Amino acid sequence: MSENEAAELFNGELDALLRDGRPPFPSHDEGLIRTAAALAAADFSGDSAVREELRARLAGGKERAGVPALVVEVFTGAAFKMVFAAACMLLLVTQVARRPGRAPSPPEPAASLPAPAAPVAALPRALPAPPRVFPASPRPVPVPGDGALFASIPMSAPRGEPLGAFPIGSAGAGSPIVTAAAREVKADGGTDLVMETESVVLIIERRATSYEEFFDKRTI
Amino acid sequence: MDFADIYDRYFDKVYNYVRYRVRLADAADDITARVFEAALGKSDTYDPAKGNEQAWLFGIARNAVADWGRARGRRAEVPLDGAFERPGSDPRAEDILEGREERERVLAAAAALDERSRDIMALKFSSGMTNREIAAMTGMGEGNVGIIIYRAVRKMQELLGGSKAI
Repeated sequence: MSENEAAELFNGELDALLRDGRPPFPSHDEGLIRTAAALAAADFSGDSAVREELRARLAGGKERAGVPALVVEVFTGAAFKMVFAAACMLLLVTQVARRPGRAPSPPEPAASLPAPAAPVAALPRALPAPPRVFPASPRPVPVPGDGALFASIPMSAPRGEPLGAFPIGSAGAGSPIVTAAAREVKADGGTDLVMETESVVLIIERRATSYEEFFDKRTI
Repeated sequence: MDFADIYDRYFDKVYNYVRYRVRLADAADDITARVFEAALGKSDTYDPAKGNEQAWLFGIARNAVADWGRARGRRAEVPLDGAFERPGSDPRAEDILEGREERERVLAAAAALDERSRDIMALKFSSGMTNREIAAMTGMGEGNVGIIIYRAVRKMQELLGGSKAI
């Protein structure tokens, strides 16, 4: 009998052993199938020191993970999206429907602080008067026109220096910059353009350059 | 997917598989914990169409053992120190498996196998998978799996001293 044939016979008996829980007898190789039965019966799991602790930890983790998962599931579900969209539409329609017929009531005049209670009145008279919170003469609130959804909030007049005229005028003293001379000069790797004014010499460099001159090229 | 149910049904099998592979109880505990932690994390992505739960779990376990071996910078096995000694008499294999010392001798015999054989033997005897399922998982041919199991059992039979006398 070849090894392939012996292996095929043995594996058939081994599958029967693992399926039925007992070795098939008679066997073509009883010693071998007994060894296989012994190996199949070997159980090392009793040596595990983490079985129960791990189970408790994973079960706890699953429960903890379940709460946010449930929340996410609720808030991303199709039903929630539909309800949310309907609520938005209802809010918008309500706002539009009630705006034209109801002008906002004018704001309260300058707020006055309530009279101090009895214990506070007993404080020394030297205490300064509390500052006024609102401007003395508030601007009237404009009634929005038809179709307007929002009313502007009353605010005081803008303060600060007025803007300057544009374009900005001459600074006054001094002469305009005049180019006295300009010439090209051969330079290393190119040509420089030298421009002279009354007070300064400007050199514009024109030459071939490379990527590495501008950027630090690092290589691992 | 009821994860607690999966844990209860497969913990022993996965632990035994890992123990066959790495032999050390502490390492087996650590790796088995990683297997079930990973399974819990991936439970939402489990697709029954790609295989049953057992194949899915043992796929994770095989990767976990391989990761452990890489992290240790060596093959996924322990040395053969104190592996086993041939018994003076001719004990039956069933008797060998009684008690902790006997189980250690079985693990030592498994450690004497090459890594591929030990992987397949561990899959076969801890999970009870068919050779076809093991072939699908390992990418080998079904016939090749059968030959490897046959040779490995024969070698373990010799190492455990139960050859023809069992």
